[in-house]
Amino acid sequence: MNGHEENPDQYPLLRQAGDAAILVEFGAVLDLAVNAAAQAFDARLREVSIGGVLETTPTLRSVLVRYDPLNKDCETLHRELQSHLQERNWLQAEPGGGRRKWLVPVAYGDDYGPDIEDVARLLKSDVDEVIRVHCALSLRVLTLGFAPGFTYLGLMPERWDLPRLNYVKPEVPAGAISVAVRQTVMTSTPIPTGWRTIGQTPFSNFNLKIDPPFVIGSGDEIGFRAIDREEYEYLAQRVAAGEAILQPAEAK
Amino acid sequence: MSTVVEVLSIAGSVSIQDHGRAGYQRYGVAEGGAMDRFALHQGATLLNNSTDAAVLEMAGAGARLEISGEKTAFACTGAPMSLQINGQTLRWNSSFVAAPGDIVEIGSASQGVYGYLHIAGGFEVPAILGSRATHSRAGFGGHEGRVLIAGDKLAAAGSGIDIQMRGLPPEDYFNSELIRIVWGAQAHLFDQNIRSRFLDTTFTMTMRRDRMGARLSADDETFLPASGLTGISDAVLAGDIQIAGDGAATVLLADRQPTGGYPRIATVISADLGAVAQMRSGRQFKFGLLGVSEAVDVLRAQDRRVRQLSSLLQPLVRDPSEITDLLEYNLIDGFTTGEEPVPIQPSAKK
Repeated sequence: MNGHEENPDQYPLLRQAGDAAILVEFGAVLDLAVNAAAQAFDARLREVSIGGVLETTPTLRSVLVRYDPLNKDCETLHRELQSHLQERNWLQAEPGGGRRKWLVPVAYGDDYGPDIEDVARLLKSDVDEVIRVHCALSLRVLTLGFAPGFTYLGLMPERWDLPRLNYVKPEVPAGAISVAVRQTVMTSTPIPTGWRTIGQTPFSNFNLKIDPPFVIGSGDEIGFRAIDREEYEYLAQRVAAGEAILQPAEAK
Repeated sequence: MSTVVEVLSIAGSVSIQDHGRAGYQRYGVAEGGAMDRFALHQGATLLNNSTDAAVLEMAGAGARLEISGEKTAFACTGAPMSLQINGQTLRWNSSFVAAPGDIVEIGSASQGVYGYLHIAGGFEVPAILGSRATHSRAGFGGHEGRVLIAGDKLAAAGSGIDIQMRGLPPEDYFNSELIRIVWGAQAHLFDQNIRSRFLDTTFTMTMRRDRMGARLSADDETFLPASGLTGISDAVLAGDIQIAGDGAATVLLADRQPTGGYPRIATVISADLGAVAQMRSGRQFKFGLLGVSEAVDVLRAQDRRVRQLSSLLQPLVRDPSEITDLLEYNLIDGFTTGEEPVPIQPSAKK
């Protein structure tokens, strides 16, 4: 059952990951169909709730299935996962039910987004157009990872295939909106980053003042709206007071 | 009136931990929790605590603590550290009572890295996402989301006046020369040659290690896969051994990032996670390959041992807090005067 014995050209693939997890991989590269397959399969696993499975985690192109090896034999779980994989062609799936749509307020440029001019230069554009284009995007939450509430959004059009910085900034604040490699990422805690920060949202996808602290989940659809400093400050106060400032709409 | 423990000074890096918060990796939160889970079970057994009680995890060395409020029971487990109450040395892996005004001083570890101080009922801090463990990098959990500093005051969540003084036998997993692995989910990226070399190599634990992970050195050996390092980020497990851009291996541990893009050649078996976390910098070891079912057999044996811990409890004769003229007593089994922890013989070794 070791991963190296399997043929990497035949997805989806089950790979044993340590003695207490199986990784279900849907592709070798990141694309929207592979990502949707992972999210739809994760939704299916949550629906069927296999005994002995502790936690499933959808990532960019895979689902990690953690189980209790004292109560679940890996070969049995392997067979059960295989049978769920055969239920349909997951690469043609929508990301899964219960998806919601959110409009995230962003203060662009200035000290909120110190790299926006650099991004405008790389896009052979200007700051106003970068803001306008970014606000016109509708992006999917590809996965959450790296840090609590850290949200990967994509995929953006080809022209946004920007390189990462060739250095790592020691810290960007919670709420930083940064871009690279056809993705926008949204931080919810202060973290180091090698991506270019174009704005900041007062919204936090890891707000311990509300329950649950996570609002946006994998598969949700995200748009942005530009706000000014005054509205940023106003919304930031409401967030600090424990208010949920985003209202969901049904995603298509 | 509950017991309050005030931190007078800190010697190592000390944080509140427990069994961690499973179930939130999909929101970017790794499980976290104590680096040595077996030591958690030992403490829970010594104090009759629930297994989700919050404890103090002490890296390398402990702290100087003053007790106030109500007299209660404590226990120390994990990496053996020097332990004194009001200047009198106590045995590690045992429970003891401390009363208001007592000074508990926990110094450096003589073996291993992570020592644990347990209090009857656990430490009283809010549970966040189902756990009281400190997640320092994200700044939540434990005491104010951070490691402890002088002046911090921690209350006990229960009382422990009626707890008997007991000891558990010492453990020998602090000086492992073999850490067992199974091949990881990305082992296929590494050719047979690299994987054989990985198993033949003697690794040294470096100083670059913390709750997130432990970097290993292997002289000039590197383990870069031929397919390069442009892997897409995937979920990361505790015990995953990642190969970074310079070819060096790092074992990812409790506070790892929940996703990572570096390829991972192997994963430390669940039963050996405590042993690798407890390995001191400078120690040398090899990785030993197991199959998945063998790894589960080892875990099952460890689980049996956890469930048998209560049968290994040995009563201690004296309650140290009640002895004022210590040197006049014949110290049967309850004390040592040396700096090193002294093994005790379990009365009913199974």
